[in-house]
Parts: sequence; C-alpha cells; structure tokens
Amino acid sequence: MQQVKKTNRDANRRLHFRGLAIFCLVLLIMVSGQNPAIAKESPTIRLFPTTVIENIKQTGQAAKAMEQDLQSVIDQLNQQEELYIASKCQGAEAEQGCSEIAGQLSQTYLEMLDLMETRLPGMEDSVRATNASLEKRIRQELGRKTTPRGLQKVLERTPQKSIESTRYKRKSGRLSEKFRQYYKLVAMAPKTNSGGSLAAVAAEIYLDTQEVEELIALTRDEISRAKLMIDLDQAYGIITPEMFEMVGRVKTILFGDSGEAEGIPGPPPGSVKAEYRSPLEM
Amino acid sequence: MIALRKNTYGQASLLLFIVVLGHVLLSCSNRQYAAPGCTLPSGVNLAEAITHSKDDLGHLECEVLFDSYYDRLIEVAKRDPDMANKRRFSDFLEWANEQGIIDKIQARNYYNRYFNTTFMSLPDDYNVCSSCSEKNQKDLEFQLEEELGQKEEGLLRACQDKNAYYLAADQYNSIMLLLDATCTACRN
Repeated sequence: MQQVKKTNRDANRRLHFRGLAIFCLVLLIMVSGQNPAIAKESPTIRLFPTTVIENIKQTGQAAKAMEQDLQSVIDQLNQQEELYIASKCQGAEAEQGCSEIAGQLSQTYLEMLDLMETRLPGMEDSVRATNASLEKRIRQELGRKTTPRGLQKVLERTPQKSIESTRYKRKSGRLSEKFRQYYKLVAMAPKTNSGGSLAAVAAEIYLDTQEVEELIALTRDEISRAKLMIDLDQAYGIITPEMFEMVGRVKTILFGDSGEAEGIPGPPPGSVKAEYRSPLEM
Repeated sequence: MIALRKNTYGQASLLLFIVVLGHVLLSCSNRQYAAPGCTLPSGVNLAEAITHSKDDLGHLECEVLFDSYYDRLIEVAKRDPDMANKRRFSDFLEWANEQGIIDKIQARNYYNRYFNTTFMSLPDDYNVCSSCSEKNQKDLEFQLEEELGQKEEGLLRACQDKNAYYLAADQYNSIMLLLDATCTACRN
C-alpha cells in the first residue's frame, strides 16, 4: 500500500515538474516575442545611450550660449570693418579718422577675444565629451561588431535618405542649430526604426565634433597669441590681416560656411516600376 | 600467304585508328577544340550580342576571354538601354555558370557590381577595424569609387534605372562617411 502511495506521489511530482517546465517555456517564448532585441536575429546597434544624448544636448546649449554672446560683438566688428574699408583707410592709417576707427575696431576685437576666452573652455569640454563617448560607441558597435559589408546592410535598413546632409555633400550651418537637429534626431530614435540613419548621424556628429575640437584648439592658440601681441602694445590700434582672419575663423566655428556645391540629384518622382530581382542578387 | 596476313594486319590497324579517331572527335563534340576565332560582339542589339557571345564562349578557346566579352556586352547594352537588360545579363551569367565558364561567386560578382546597389568591394569576412590601416582604407575607398562607376555603367547607362543608381550613389556617400568615422574611431 505504501509502495503504491509513493509511486503516486512520484508521478504527481513528475507531472507538476513537467507543467512547471512547460509554463516556463511558454513564458520565455512570450517574453522573447515581445522583446525585439531577443526576437530579432540581427544584432542591435546601440550608438546613442542616454549619456551620449545628454552630451549632444549640452554641446548644443553651450554653442547657443556662445553664439548669443558673440553675435552682437561680431555684428559690431562687421560694421566697423565695413566703415574702415568704405573710408579707404587701408594705406592711410595715419589719418585721424582712420586711426579712430582702427582704435574702436581693436577694442571690439579685444572684447571678442575676452568673450571667447571665457566661453571656449566650456564649449571645448562639452564637444570633447561628446566626441569621446561617440568614439567609444562607434568603435565598439560599428568597428568591432560589424563587417564592411555589414555597414551597408545597416544603411539598407532605412531605404530613405539617411541624413539630410552627409559629410561628402554637407552644408554647414550654425553649430547650435546643427546640434539641436542632431539632438532631435537621436532623441526621437527609440520611436522610429531608423538604425541606418542613426549610424550616419553618429558618424556625422563624431566627425563634426572632431573638426570643431581641432578648430577650438587652434582658436585658443590664436587668442593667446593675439592677446600677447596686444599686451606688448604692438598691435593695439593697428588693423592687421590676422584680426580679420581671426574673426573669420570664429564665424566658421559658430555659423558655418555657405555656398557648398549640391550633391547628386535625387531620383525623378513617379518612375518606379516593378523591380526585376535576379537570382544572383545579394 | 605472308603478304595476305600483312594486308589483314594493315586493315585492322587502319580500322582501329579510325575507331579511335572517331571516338576522340565524338567525345569533343560538346566542346569544340577547332579554333573558331573568338570575335568580340559589336553592334547596337544586346540580344544579338549575347547570342554571339554564347556561341563563341561555347568554344574552350574563348572561355579565357570571358571578361572581355562581358565588358563588350556592357558597351553594347549602353547603346541599347532597357530596363530588361538586367534580366538579360542575369540569364547570360547563369548560363555561363551552368556551362562551367565561371563559378557562382564570379557570376554574383559580375551581376551585382553592375546591376545592383550592393557594393561587392566591401569585404564580409572580418570586422571593420581590421580594414582600417591607412593603406587598406584608401584601397577600399578606391575600389568603392571604381564600383560606383561600374554601377553607373550598368544601372544608369545600360538599364536607365535612375532610381537604383541614385540609391547606390547615396549609399556610397553614406558608406564613405561611416567608414571614415569608424576607421578614425578604430585608430584612436
């Protein structure tokens, strides 16, 4: 009798265990079906974790603050420069009117240098942080996890134009506006399935920040040199070509260049026919 | 008596020779060894040029000239542009593969370089970082540019498939951007 009871208990236990195992299996299938990371066969590329997005946001804000600070000074410099040229002061610096304009110009220039000297370190830190975090992500996700052919597959996931302007046909604009757009693109990323375009955005921001970092370093060197010259009282009151170059460089960093050539024209609309697919296609 | 026996041997030898020669000639009927003179196709009609090429490439002598035949066919197709040319080239390459003139990988390579947006120059064996020495990256960029030229010939000129070509050109730009950024990150 005891033997029969024991056998029944064992059978029940086995049944419970089987039920539990089936339940766990079903649960696992349901969970993996809901989680796209598990359901998808292709590896997920994570280029924009929260820290990177925050860095981009901060860089945009730093650029905007610097632009606002410098905008009025640069406008003033432009007006003084126009006046200097219109008064035909080049070559006639000794004349009283011209030397007054030159003095004003130099003062405004010094003001611009001071402003930049205050703002640039913060901006540089922010750009460097964005660059470093993106560099790590790109190396890890695109450099080590992907083959060169895989890069094209990443792009093919989004058949639409990857990004409005890429490095090889891009137009420069205001730095803060650029970063504002970048931020909008990457912050919206989780809602849209745009892995391909995000890879291009990451590449674009990374190369941009690298370029800006180099420009900032150069500008800081220039500021130190220009201030030293003014301290030595060699350039104060004298308009030098370097001053205009310096202003030009500042404008390039903040407001970008204009008039770059257009890229390849887009396809004509409405000419898409049913596509032939060869068995040899890859 | 001796002469008669000699004559019989001679006839037997001749018969044997004829049988062997006949066998050799029959066994070669599928692959003609006789020099046909491999003349590259010309003209403005792709279908005719493909037929001509198939006839020539059916001879072993011409097989080694497959590359030249293919290039010439592209030239003819550029003078006879049509969306259907993709299918014609695909069929031709499949035929060449079935005949053992080229292998499957070569057939895919020939087709995709000219008639698809996929860039065959991009290797698929190792990760991107391992192709990032300055020399490798430059070589790869050069090959990609060359392939974009082939796609221009195939997709745009031979098939007038502007959509596909512009997509390929757009992808070329994006690939160059990604390669540039990724290799910079790998080297730092």
